[in-house]
Amino acid sequence: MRKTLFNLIFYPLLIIVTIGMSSFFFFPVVITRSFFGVRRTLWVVRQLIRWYALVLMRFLMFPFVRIIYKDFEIGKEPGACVYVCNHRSSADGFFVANLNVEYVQVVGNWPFKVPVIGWIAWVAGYLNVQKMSFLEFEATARQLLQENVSIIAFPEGSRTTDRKVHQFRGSAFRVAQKAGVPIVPLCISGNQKVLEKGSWLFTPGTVYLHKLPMIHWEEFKDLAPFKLKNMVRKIIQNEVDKLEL
Amino acid sequence: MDEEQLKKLVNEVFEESFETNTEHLKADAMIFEDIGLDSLDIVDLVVALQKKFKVQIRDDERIRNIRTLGDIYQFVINLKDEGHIPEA
Repeated sequence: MRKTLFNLIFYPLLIIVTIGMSSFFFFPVVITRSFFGVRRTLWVVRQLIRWYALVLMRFLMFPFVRIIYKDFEIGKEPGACVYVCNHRSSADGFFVANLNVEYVQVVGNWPFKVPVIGWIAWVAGYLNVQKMSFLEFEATARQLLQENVSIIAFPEGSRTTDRKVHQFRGSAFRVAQKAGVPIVPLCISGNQKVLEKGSWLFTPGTVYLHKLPMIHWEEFKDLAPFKLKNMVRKIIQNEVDKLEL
Repeated sequence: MDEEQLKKLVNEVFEESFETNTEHLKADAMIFEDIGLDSLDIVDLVVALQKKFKVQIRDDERIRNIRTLGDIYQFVINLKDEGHIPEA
């Protein structure tokens, strides 16, 4: 009953907010582009995406979904980072919006196919790893990091349905090593119940998103990328175990 | 060098370059799903195999068909039979 009510309220509001905010976004983007150039415009687009996601997560889902962030209040990292998060729900890209930094996400093809959201993600420069060679991905990601734009990656590649953090793909880790930036592991839990894989119906629940201690570049610069990705995978797996055992 | 020695050397590559636990090194282990290599790690694997066996395999088309550790064993055994791997 509560689940039905949640979805009956959420989806109409989602459509209204998406249309409303995307119309509202148009003007500041055009104005910024006219007067401040591409770089500033991209910053505005990325901030607007963050705000959109925060509206969805904090207002539209309230009070059915509670999101508990841990260590997000510590403050910004000193510069651009590569954030890596386990992946269990198609809403994960929205849950991480609470990171108070300018970022782009590493995604596959499907988010670009979602009406409105896909187009805005394309404008914001989200990285489609399924369409890029590693060299293209590396060059683009390094350029973003140099511009102080962080990268958020879900290195499992696809959503998992069990408690196990599955094998990681190494692209994001290789970029962090080559660009000389830190890695910040993120652990998400509870999201798999709120929006189960294969379903578009939300279930009321609690989502935990923990920001784990930053791994400084000096700590991993000489590690083989394979060892590095597995080290980070174990860190996130340990946190999942703590949350779910 | 017999087949068992070749397999042992392949296992050493995984232990040294990828810190793979010995218990995971079974012939039927899938190199992507079970051992956790990705397409970029394969490049590192090829480099490590070349170094270990003193052979050039970077352009060998058969690498594309490798799926399991057993496939790598067989690939190395074939290289030995073809005379590409020098005797120890």
